Amino acid sequence: MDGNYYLDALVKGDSKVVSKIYDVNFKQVKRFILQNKGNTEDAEDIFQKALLQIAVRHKKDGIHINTTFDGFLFTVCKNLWRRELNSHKSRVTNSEIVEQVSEAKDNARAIIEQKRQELFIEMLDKISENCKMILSLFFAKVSYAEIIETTEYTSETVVRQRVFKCKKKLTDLIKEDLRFNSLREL
Amino acid sequence: MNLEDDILIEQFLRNELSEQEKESFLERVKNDADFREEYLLEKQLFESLNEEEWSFAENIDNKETNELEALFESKEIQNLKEVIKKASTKPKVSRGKIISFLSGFAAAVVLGFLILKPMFSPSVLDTNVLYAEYVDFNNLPSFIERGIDDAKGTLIEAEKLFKQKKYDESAVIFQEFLKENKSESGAYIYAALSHAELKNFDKAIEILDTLKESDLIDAEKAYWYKSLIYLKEKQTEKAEKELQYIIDNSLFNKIKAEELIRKFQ
Repeated sequence: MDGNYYLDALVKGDSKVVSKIYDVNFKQVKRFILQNKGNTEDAEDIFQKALLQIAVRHKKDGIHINTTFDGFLFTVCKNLWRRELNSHKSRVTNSEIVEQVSEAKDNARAIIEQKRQELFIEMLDKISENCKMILSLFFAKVSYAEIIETTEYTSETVVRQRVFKCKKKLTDLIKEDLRFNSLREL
Repeated sequence: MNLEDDILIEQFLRNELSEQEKESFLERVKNDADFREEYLLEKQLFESLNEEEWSFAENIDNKETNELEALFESKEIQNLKEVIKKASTKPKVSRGKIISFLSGFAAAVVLGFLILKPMFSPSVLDTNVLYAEYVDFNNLPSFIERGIDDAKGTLIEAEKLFKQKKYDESAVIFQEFLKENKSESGAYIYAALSHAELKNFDKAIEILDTLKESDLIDAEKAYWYKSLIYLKEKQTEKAEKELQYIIDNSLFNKIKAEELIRKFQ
């Protein structure tokens, strides 16, 4: 699906295009959610939220999609579902009272979070392949012992130093990017 | 930031500090602005780039969130929300739509055909979709994950063929394997599903009946896969009977059976 054509039609509320987006993409999203602890109702909810999120973003700033519309939509759905699963988790583990926010505010926050993730991944792609590989393992909470097993590094100290240097490159790039100002935690 | 601070932040995020260390860590986060900035960015990175977690926007500059919030509440987006909702509930292929494309005699023939044999009825269409969703090929038990030994080599090969959709070949290998090894429940399931994909439904059911009659721990899984194969074959009454049996006897996938039975009833 051509990205920009679908974005424009979606913002305009073109019901034919919206139906087509459903026909082409919903099954895949539903399958993903059913395989990850959700049900059909969750899939409907996430799919609708994702389309709305994309429309609002495109209307506000204009989105430019590098891949296909389908791929982009699937990533947004996947992330919204990750968000949903983690919000349940924090509600269960935190004894603090969860702040009640309006649906619009919660949707707005989800956009900030999605944009933040996109920025991080974009910057991760800018550093060297080696740094990207080692940081991907590090952020996935793979232990140092396992990192040593899967790379050519021979000791924990060397891996730690490498992680430190790579992380510095990544965080410098993120901080230099103007978009980060409105996305960062205060 | 120095390496020591970096390690400290990492230990906090990996939950490796003692209670006392955590307390002093949080105290420093509160009072040391630079340290706080480093900690927060690393926390966001950890949560964003780890598939299991998600980085929530908890305390950010309100300007952009307020603008987005206003947009979500705008009439235009509220209208779009309705359009999206309607699209989700709209039947995907309606008889009316099919007929509207045809005229006169052709429409009459199609209508007559539909009355005699309702092949476009939603329930018939849905059974295939339901089968595809619930059979979940990606989460079938894997022989590969269990490691290789001589007896399993054949199974691994057959599983690969199954994944490559070479069902005729995988069906033969699994069945041959079962002649000599009657205690591998996964092989019955793969053999049956291979036959189902080849539309040899009777054979598929026969294999699952053998599994059902066996004294294997996984024998009860036969009911679940039988119900799915009946669905694929559009034998909804038989599928329903198997699902009801699963529910009544609390067998494998009881919750999914309850969910599924509600969908096609």
